This record gives sequence, structure tokens and C-alpha cells, in this order.
Amino acid sequence: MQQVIGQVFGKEQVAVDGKAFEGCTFNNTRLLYKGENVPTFSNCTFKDVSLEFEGAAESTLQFLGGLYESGFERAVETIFKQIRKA
Amino acid sequence: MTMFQKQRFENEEVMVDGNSYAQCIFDGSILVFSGGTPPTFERCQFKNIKIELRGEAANTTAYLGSLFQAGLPDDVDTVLNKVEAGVMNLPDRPNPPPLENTGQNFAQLGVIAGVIAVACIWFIGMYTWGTVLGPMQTLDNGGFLRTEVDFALIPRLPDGLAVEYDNVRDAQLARIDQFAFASTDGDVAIPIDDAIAFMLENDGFPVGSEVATDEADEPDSDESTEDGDDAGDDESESDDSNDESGD
Repeated sequence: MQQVIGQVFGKEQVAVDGKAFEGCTFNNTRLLYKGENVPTFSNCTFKDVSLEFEGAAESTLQFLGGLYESGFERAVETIFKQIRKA
Repeated sequence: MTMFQKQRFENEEVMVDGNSYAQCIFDGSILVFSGGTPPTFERCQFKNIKIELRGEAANTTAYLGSLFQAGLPDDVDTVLNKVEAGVMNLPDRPNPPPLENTGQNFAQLGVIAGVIAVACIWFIGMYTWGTVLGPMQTLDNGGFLRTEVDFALIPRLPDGLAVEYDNVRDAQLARIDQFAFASTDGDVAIPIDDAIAFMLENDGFPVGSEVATDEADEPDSDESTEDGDDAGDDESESDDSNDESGD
């Protein structure tokens, strides 16, 4: 896993897959995730960031959205609760 | 993409990535998604199924969870709310409308609203003029709202129609309730009640002088036996008629 320590990110897109961020600052940064290895964030500061998804991550959200729209609200809500409890 | 049609999946794991299912039945199945192409389901039946995310799909939920804990709960909630609202860009979902149709282009919205408002005001004004103000002005100028029709062309009933009707009716009732000469030939009119009584007794009216002559020549024998006085009167009347004819 790639270590990123103490770096300041401005108004840019940052691919976060497989990276370990430590003590970084994200200011108006777009965090791009593609569904690969889950990144870690420790002691990081976020300000006005936005989340972007591509590839498998985007497909996963689309899959969940399709399930929710097709009547599987409870199943999707269960997954979302797990996300919020993580 | 593999196409499954009218298949039944029962108590088994089904890897759904990139597959297409039509009219399939999932009973007690576990739908496993690993982050590939989202599957499609058309007219499928689901019963007691479970959904399981693996691989990159599981990574995605784990990533969102780590962001939630790292201090971005609002941003994660925004993403999840978009998923629930169906805003995520599904493959068969049309692209979002352009900005001018989303209600944020206030300049164009104001222009269109202004045009519509002017059109509405113009319509209301014309309607008011045509139905209220125009006719009022015409009346003030002594004109007519519609084409003038000559009173002579309008049929009128007399003012005293009821009185006139009663007078005519009274005159007719009085006329049929009195004795009078009906013509210069000697025909007479008798009251209507007497005429009805006479008709009932004699089965009809005598017709002219022939009846009088017949009665004079051949007096009714039945009446002479039953009503001697009447027979005598008839004879005297016939004698009178003979005398008059002799005269």
C-alpha cells in the first residue's frame, strides 16, 4: 500500500485506491475511488471535498441503486447501516 | 453478458455480475455482486433472497465506511442518498437534463414567465373588454348590444287576452242556452240542455220538415198508448202544421 504522509491537496482529483494517507490535508479535492484496495485515512483534514467513483466502485453504487429502485429497499438500507457503523 | 431466461435459482449462490435475467425465479438464493457490470432483471420473481457484496463491491462499501469514520459523514450520506434517489448513472438511465431545464437558469426562467404573464394579462384584458367594458360603452352611447329587431316583426298577444277570452266564452254559452231562429228557412235553435234531453229521448234529432210530416202522417202508436197527453199534443201540432200549410 502506498504511503502518503503530510501532503496538502488542493483543487484537484486524487486517486485514492490502495493508498494510505496520513496527516494529509484535502481542500476542495475530488477523491476518486475505483473499487480497488481500500485506502486509509489517518489524521487527515478534509474541507469541501467531493467523492467520485469509477469502475467497479461506480458499478457497485449503480447495482445498489438498481436494487433499491426494484423494491429491495430493506436490503440496501441494511448495507448502508453497515457503512455508517463501520 | 450471459442471458438467463425462465430459469429457477433455488437455495444457491448466484454470481450476478454482468448477467441478464428475464422471467427468472430466485427462491432462497444469495445474489452475489463483485463490482463488475451491474446485472439486469426483467420480470423476475424474488423470494427470500439475500444480497452479498464481494471483491471490489465490498471494497466500495468498506471505502465509504472508512470515509464515514474519517470525518466525512455528510459526504458519504450524500452519496448514499443519491443511490437511494436513483440519481447514480445507471447504464440504461438517460443522462441528466441540461442545466437550462433544471430551474437554475433564472434569467431564461424570468423571460419565459414574463411572456406568459403578459399573455395572460392580455387575454384577461380582452375578455373583460369583450364581455363587460365594451357592452357598457355601447349602452352608454345609446347603441344596441345586438342587431335591432323591429317590434312589428315580433308577434304580440293582446294585453286583455284573458278578459277577451272570457267574454267570447260567455257569449258562446249564452248563445247555446236560448231559443232563437237559426235561419230564415224556419230552423230554430233550442237550449243545449233541452237538445241533449230531446236527443236522448228520441234517439237523435228530427231532420227538417220531413220528420214533422212523417210524425203527422204516422203517429207513434207506442207513445200514444204510453203517453196519451204527448200524443194529443203531437196531433194538435200536426194539425197546426197542416193548417199553416193550407194557409
